[in-house]
Amino acid sequence: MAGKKKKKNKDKGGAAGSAGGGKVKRKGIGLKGRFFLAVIVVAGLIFLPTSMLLLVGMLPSLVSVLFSSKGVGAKSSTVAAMNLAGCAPFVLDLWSSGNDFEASVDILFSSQTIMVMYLAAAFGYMIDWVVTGLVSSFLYQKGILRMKDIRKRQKFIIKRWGAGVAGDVDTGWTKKGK
Amino acid sequence: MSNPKVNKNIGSAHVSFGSDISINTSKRLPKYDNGNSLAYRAYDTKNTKFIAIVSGVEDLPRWDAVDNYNSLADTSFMHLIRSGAVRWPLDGNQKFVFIYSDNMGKALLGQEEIHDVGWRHPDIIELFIHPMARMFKEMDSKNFNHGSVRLSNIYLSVSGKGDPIVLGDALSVYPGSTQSSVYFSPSKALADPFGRGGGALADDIYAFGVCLVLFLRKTGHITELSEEELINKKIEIGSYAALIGSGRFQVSFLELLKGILHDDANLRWGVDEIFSWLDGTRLAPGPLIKKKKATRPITFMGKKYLYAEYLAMDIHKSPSEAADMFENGVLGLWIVKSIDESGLTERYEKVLDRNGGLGAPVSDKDLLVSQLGLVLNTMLPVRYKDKSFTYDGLGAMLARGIISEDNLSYYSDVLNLGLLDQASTGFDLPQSEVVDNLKLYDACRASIKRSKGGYGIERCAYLLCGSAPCLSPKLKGYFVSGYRSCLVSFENICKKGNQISLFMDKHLIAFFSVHDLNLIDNILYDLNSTNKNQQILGNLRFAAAMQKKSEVSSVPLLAGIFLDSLSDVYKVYRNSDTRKKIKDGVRVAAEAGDLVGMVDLIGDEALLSVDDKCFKAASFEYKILHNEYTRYNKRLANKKIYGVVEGRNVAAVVSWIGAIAITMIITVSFLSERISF
Repeated sequence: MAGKKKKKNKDKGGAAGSAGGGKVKRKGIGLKGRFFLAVIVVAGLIFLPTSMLLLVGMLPSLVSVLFSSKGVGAKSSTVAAMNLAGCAPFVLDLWSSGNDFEASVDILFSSQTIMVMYLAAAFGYMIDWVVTGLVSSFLYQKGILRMKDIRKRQKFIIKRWGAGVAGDVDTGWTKKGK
Repeated sequence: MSNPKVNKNIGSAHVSFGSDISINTSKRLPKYDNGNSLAYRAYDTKNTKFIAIVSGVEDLPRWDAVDNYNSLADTSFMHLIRSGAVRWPLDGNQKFVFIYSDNMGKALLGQEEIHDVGWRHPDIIELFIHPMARMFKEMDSKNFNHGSVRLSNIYLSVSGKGDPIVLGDALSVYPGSTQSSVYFSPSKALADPFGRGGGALADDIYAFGVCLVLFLRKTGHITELSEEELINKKIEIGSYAALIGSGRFQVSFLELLKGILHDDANLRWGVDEIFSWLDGTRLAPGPLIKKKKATRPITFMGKKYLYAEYLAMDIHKSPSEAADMFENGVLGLWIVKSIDESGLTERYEKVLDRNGGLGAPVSDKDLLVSQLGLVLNTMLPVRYKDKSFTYDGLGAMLARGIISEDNLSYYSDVLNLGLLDQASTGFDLPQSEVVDNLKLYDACRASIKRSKGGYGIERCAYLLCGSAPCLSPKLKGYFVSGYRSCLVSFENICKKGNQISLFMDKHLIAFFSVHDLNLIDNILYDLNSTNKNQQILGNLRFAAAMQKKSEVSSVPLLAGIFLDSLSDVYKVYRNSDTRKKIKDGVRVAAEAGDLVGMVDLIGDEALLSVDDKCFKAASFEYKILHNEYTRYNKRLANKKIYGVVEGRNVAAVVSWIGAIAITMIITVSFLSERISF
């Protein structure tokens, strides 16, 4: 039963992802999610200077998560990865300078810090745009080629076995020379 | 089966028969003629003289009895050298020819008179009666009947008067069809020549009795009576008394003649009694058939009748008067009250029931007189309309009717009206034979009702007349009696052109179905199919089966005809490559005239099975591909979103790898600045 449900969800997700249609029901945060959220909140309170730095530095990722359409979590992930890489040198700097609230505020108020962190996030957006475009074009061309191959193979089958091999399937395309 | 040879005419006067015998068509031998089957002089390459008796298809020569005849060992039979079909130049049609060795002298009966051979009493027994008895014994053991025992067909030996007689040709005509009615007991004498049935040894023994009477009287005529008058007399006083008349014979011969001239075939002397008589044993001939005399006469056509048997002879002469007599009950009263014979009364009542009872109007007067004839005298043949035949005599008449293109509805009517059933049941036959006959008639009626190939009235001809050759209109002018002759005939027909590959018609299917059901049985479905290709395949299959059976090595013209019409038949193979391969193979086989090879290629069951399986697999593959194509077509319709999900996933992976790498570099660089070694 569980397997069936899983498969159904997978099918739905595939169709939606491919054709962009179909509504996916938004689920609430599960027990695990709630647990991790609690751990993060507690850790954030314990390591408050670091948390504050990251909260400001990771704002583009947060915006991406909150405002991106459903089912495109990969895009937020792309942005977040680069955004995090952009925050990394300042986190290290914070940790090396005592990891206190003041140091954190100093770093945040440096214009260079914000620029580096947000440019890194922008780079993440760029990676998403470029790579997605390249891959989808590649896959589209591959699909076109496969369709041509299918028609070629079908023509061969009809040539060898006659039109009867198609059964009740429409073979009008052979006459149109598609 | 016959053994036809390849024939080539040597000039106009000679017809070659096989490679070594030549028939001189200008040299007739009339004394050996058997009815319309004419005799000619034939020679072999060593100039040995033979007698060739040439039969047309209308004579219904006994091609099916040749093997049986050849098995007869007695030297007093004409020695058959060879038989088979030959293209006869005088009319351009094929004839069936019997080649006999010429070891005979004069016939016992010349133009009109008996030849004075100077035989005394012991010579007659030793040179005439004894050889005939020996031949009858031989025929009895080989289940053969002659059918042409008459004085003009019994010959003196060529070597001299001390040698026994030689019995002439029996095969060139249908049994009894060329015999004068004198040579038959009344039960067959009244039937038409081809309506006398296949005959039996008892008929030959009776005919021999007539021959002996004529021989002893030294005359070609029994009396001054006409044939009809003689038959009437035979019915009135019995054959023995009618034939002997006031003639003076030796007492010992009278005993023999009384035994072998008995009108009832069951009481007639057989071979054992004749030999017993020859051995000197005194035997009592069977009792004469007693007729019951009526207490008062019945008047029919102004003539008074006291015996039912005599009335039976004449009742067909006035069907209306007979019908009146039947309707008003006069005939019934006469039978029941005046004759009062249980068998006759029972038969009459059956006919009364069939015609709707007493007083019911008679719808078919011809049928009524036919039925009444069989009621009044069960030994007489069936008389229906203008034809007369015995219970087993319809087949040959039907075959002749087909040959002369008569309206065949008459024969269907006879079978459907149950006249043969009535004749067979009334005739004094063994019960097993009656049952066999009734089954045969039922099979004929069932066949008439069916319209498919192999059935119809055509089949009845072959069921009822075993010696009928194939009478298909397509084979007009050909004598086809077996596979070989059929195949060779069609090859010859193909030479003339315009032959189609659907050569198997109702006659051909019926003929071979009756003679060899096993061969045609599994092809019948194809032959009767409504699909033309299947019919062509059926025809080819049967032609190939004939080729295989007859061992005719090559029929290239017939194969060529098939080749031209097979284009659609190859479609049984759905793979175009296989089809082409088969087509090429069939072409090669056709050029070699190998029908068997053609069929083997076209109907290769293993290959067909593989082809069918592969076709199903290809069909399945086609549908899978179609579904895949439809799926792609649907997804690729929106180019903007196609592959975006996959692209983003790839971008995420790329981004994470880059981020990890950058973080590691920064970390290493940061640490290397802080920690100085």
